[in-house]
Amino acid sequence: MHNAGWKNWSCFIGSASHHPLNPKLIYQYEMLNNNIGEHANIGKEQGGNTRQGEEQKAVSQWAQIVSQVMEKVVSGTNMSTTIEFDDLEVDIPKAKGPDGRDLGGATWKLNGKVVWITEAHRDQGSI
Amino acid sequence: MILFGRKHLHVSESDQIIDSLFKIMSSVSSGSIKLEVANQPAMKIEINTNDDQVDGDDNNRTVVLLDLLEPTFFSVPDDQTGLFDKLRTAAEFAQKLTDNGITFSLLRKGKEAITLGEEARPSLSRIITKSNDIQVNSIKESAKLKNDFDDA
Repeated sequence: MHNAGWKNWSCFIGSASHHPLNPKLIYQYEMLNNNIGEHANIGKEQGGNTRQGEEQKAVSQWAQIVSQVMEKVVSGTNMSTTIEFDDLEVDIPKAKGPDGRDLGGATWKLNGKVVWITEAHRDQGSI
Repeated sequence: MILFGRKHLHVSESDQIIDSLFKIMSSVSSGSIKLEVANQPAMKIEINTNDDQVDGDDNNRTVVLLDLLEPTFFSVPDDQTGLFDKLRTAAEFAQKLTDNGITFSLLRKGKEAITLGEEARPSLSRIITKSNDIQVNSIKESAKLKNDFDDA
């Protein structure tokens, strides 16, 4: 886009080379520059929208992959799923309360199991 | 994550999902998590953190071992990305792991397949992945993993 603008400007100089500081020439150059700027902004906006769209598409794709795996874990019928934590140490960073009070940090130690079981039941209303 | 290529998922600088994942990985200093589905072991995660002193600064190096004991369970039938697309995504993910001092080892049924991040020492695999942050520990296990994900 910028090259095209430069080419046009060069052509214009060629036709009015005997008045290098002709106000009309300067005005037209500024117009041209503004147009280039506008085009550049349009390009930027379009690029931003495309990028945003791509980002959303990608996030939804990741979400889809994660949800498919999670669905298997959570919603399998007549299935038990167990998550076992064994000496899992989690460092909780220092935090500040709403009044600026120092809430301090902590280390959590997790041991134990979480088990969930899914069962399928026949709906009496169904055939 | 930003999708620039046709199917290649990019890991961007300000990726919320990846950032959250790194925060979780960084906050866990040690321990393990096991996942059992239908009384069958499906996955095991082991996390260890080493404190290294470099030039007087504390450098936490986290090693995460992800062992897929039943890899077919984690297959995604709708996933249409190819091996090279996955490797390209993995390269960007591995770069972020290295930046955060995290090593991520992927195992298949107890056998090392791929190491990503800080402690990855690639040799020939660098030619394929074009990354210094991915080490293919075993081509055989990596290929099996790919088949496990694709076939189910």
